[in-house]
Amino acid sequence: MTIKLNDYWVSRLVQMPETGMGYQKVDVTFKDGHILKGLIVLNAEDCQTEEEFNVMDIVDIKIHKG
Amino acid sequence: MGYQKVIATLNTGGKEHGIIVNSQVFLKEGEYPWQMRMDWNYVQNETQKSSLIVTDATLIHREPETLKGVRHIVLANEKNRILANRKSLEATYARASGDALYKTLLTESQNFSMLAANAAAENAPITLTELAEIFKRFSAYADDKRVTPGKGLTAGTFATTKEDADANIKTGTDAVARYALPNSKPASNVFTISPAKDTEVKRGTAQPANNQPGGGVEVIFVNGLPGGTVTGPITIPDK
Repeated sequence: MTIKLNDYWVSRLVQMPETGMGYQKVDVTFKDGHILKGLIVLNAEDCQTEEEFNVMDIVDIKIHKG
Repeated sequence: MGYQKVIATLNTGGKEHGIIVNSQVFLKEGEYPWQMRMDWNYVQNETQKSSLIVTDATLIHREPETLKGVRHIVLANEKNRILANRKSLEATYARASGDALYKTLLTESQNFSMLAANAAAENAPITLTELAEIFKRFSAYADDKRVTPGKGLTAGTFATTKEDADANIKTGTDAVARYALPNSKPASNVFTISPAKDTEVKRGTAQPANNQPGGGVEVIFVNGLPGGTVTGPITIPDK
């Protein structure tokens, strides 16, 4: 499924480097401490994920390493 | 990196702490741009204008203790380029001496050359753009977030060369395959990028990923681009 990130995270992601043309591979950290690793975000806004989540529960997004 | 720390005596009689770069130029401490990426031609031109000359210098010794733990690195594509050159030289000698290993060495050299050329842009060293060099960016989104409101690019944005795009991309689906994109939608919006000469970029080849073959030229605008350097998008057929 695709989850649309809000303006706050879009503005953060556009300041981070891309992984390839038009996308970033990211690790998303949530309020409860769990992390979804290696998610693809297209155009800094469309997050591809198999696990549904609430954007308001995100506390951090980092570019995935490795 | 090509410099020595010294206490220099100048022709004015004064003494200054600084560095001598490449055994040619003295830069006073606190006055040097401490990126050795500075334009060497510019430095040499400035040198010609100066009347200050080092008449004597005392080298500032560096204790071996301070060098322990320095890490040895070899960038992947640089290593392969060096190995390719080495094998090529060995092949030349082998051919000249009638050695049957000639063909094997030549093949090894070509393999290393291919590895060097195929390194991903992310791992490549920073290079500079040429005068009037044009780049293209393919996106599934007409409202591409990496393009700033002033029509520049944010740092770390990917693109490709105009040559690679013109020769290989006729549709948005072509772009998804050649640049190994994870999009389910074709990247049919094409932006044209016209950076100033000497813009910092990394160049490489899109590696296979996202169930796509890759193989296209990829270029990263390391520091992004100022406004007025991006036009478009125009749209190309999806399929």
